[in-house]
Amino acid sequence: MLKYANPTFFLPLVAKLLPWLAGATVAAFAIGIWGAFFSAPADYQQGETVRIMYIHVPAAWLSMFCYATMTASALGTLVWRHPLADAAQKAAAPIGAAFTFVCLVTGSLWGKPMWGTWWVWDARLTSVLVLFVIYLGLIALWQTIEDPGRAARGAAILTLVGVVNLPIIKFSVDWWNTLHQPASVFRMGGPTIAPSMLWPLLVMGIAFTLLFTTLHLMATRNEILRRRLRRLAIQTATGETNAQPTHRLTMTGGAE
Amino acid sequence: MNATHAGFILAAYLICIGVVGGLIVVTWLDHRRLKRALAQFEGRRGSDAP
Amino acid sequence: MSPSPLAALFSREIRVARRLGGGGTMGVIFFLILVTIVPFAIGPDLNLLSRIGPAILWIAALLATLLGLDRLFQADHEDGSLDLMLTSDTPLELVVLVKCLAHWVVTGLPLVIAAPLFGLMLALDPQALWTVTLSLLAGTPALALLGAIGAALTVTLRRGGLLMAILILPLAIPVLIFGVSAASASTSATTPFWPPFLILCALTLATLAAAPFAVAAALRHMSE
Repeated sequence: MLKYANPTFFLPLVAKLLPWLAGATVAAFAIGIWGAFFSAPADYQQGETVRIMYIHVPAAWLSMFCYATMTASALGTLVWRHPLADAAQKAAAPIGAAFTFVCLVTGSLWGKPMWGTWWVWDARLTSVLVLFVIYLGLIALWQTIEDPGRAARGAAILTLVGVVNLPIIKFSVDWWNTLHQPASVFRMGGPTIAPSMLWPLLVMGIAFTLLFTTLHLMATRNEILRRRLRRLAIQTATGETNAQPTHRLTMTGGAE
Repeated sequence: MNATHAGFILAAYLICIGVVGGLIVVTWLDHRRLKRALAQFEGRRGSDAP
Repeated sequence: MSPSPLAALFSREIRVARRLGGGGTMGVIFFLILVTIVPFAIGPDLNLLSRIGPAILWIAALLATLLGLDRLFQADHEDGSLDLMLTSDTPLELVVLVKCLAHWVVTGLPLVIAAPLFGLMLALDPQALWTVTLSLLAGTPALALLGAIGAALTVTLRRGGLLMAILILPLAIPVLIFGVSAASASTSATTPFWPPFLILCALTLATLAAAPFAVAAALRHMSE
């Protein structure tokens, strides 16, 4: 029962916070999109397509922020064995994958009119693609291991290995890219960005972060409920005995 | 030229809305399903108890 | 038992690999088949082959290292010897290191030895043969150690092979990049040999230092 202690505190808190967060997200998106479409001017070089930036850049930022959240949760899982950290970690992976996907697709849609191709093996794009693949691997690991506690610890180790590797991957992809310099490299943003374009971008960044927080809390709550349901199902299946020995029965694979 | 680019911008925003909206709907449906299943368990337990 | 438990473990690993999978021959045959298949896919143009030859050999090595990797800890998990390793006095990190070394000797080293021969089939010039072989020698241990992380994470899964590949291959990208850069140094004038080769060595050494801890942690957590 001790394990229930924290989630029972967490669930009412989420129920109380969610409407406010959802409202703030909608408000931030309303201001941000108004700014992106009506207030910000079209870029003198890129024309109207610069408006894609207002979702592309925040999505890119969130794709990394989400991995940082997962890393923190992974530490919570491995060091403190906190069930809430397990749930937060599992909930973050699909959201991170979704934001990375949005970043890749909007980048591609931005690249087609700007570069003339859907995809360039540019260092930045390639690193994001690798990040996306790592997210997919984590989701696959979560889905394959049945026991939630073990899946959480496995995913936590992989997340930490990924954190160590991501800078190395970034560095090596940069090296690789300078080696095979593409014909025309388009440098994004440049040193200065006009304030009239910067503020909608920042507002959109806040909106995306709020959206992520809302989604993450919703998904974490789902994971807690899913665990509770699983435990109840096992308890009724094994005839209301102790919850502890059922842990062994549900192990996948192995030699039992 | 402007018209073709409008298509790209529209597509980017629609895909973004689609992915995020899909995520919200899936999470929400998942939540409803879980709540219903949990309520079912509570009900069964209540009827079993006496 | 031999004097050192680690030496005993090493010779056991080699013996098991020789009896079950024919030792290194299977990996080399797979390597040969991959190298044979590529010209059928892209055509027998020797100029093209010699240009992308180092890359072909590296991708073949990457795929060949995955062979049998899913059984690296799984077999021990099933027959219970993994529990012995977990509870023994010898640090699990060293056990992991020895197992990886044995796995590399059985799968990676034969590839390194066979690489010059297959390089000839891909019309590599003598200097490229050297660079490919050296880069494979420096890089394949890192591949084996990274693979061990995936193998440990999927240790309890019956069909963990595909998942393992999905988990490992993104992490192997840096090794591949610097390996191929060093290997193709002689074929393209723009790249020098030493910088990518030294970075490759650094990657291998860093993996050698860090991966056993990740593998041991994964084994402890996944098999408890």
